[in-house]
Amino acid sequence: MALDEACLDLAPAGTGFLRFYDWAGPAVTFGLSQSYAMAAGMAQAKGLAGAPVVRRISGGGVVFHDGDFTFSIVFPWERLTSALGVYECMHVAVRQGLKACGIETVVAGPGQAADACFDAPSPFDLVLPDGRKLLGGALRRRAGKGLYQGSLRPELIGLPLEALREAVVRGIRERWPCPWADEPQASWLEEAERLRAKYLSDDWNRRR
Amino acid sequence: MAKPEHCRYAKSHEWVCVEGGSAVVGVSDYAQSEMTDVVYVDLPKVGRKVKLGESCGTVESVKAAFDFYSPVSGEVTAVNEALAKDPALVNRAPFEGGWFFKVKPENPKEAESLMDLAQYREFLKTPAAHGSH
Repeated sequence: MALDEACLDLAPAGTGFLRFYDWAGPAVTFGLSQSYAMAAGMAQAKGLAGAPVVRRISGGGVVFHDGDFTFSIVFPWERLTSALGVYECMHVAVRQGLKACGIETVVAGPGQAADACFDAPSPFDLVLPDGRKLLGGALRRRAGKGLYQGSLRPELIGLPLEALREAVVRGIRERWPCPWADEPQASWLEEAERLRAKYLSDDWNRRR
Repeated sequence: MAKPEHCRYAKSHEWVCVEGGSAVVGVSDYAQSEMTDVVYVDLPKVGRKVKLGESCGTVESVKAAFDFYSPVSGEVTAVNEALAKDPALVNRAPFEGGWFFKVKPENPKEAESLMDLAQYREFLKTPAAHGSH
């Protein structure tokens, strides 16, 4: 979470950066304005008591990181445009990437967002043809840049993770033809280290 | 309450209405419509000194959180407590019940450098104001 925020703040305007990341163990993240108590309660009900419960800077719902495939994208979002439109475009892009691997998916239609990310598809989530949710995400817009934080259930499609990474990269880069950074710069990593304390703090995680 | 024709507008779509020694700040009708259904507004604290163009809070809608920026410099003197209970006021009445905060401006003339309503309407027609993704 700290590196995502650092990348959002420090990636040069007009460029993109896509990264994949794993978790040291089961964890839970929740949306910027959600309540910690609700997220912690849902974690416990899910059998994830004791897992870290961390507030994101993006919107969206509670996400259980227990075997999901996670990635984040910093991208140019210079003009204020509909978040749902951006969200739809992200998932159309990933759908195209997966299609090249023979995986058929559908971008969900309008609907009601759920408190927990995978309870039910939200508008413009990426779902399988049978309706099961494959990919959901959350967005933050700051200073003409956007951050997308995505969570995908890889067990639903059985694609090797390396192929899945390639599919996401291909789809996203084709959709956003901006310059893309391949690696985080040293300054981004330094900023992430500084921000780490925030994401470990009660001031941030329990502010609501 | 602010009237759109009496407000000045920033390119980041905040409005400011200066009356006497106080400036009221909110987001434009265009901004609220692009943000869609607002579910939470995180406002600056009373007493905070904000600068023109400085990020001073967030608006959250379904799936996304947006930074918003102060259109004037000064000290925050009041915030709209009603948004805590009813954030959708931003959608329903962005110039009235959906205002964000009040500022005691450092320089009352600062707002005059922003766009008036006619200029803002022209700005909304340009690619610089909005685009597609």
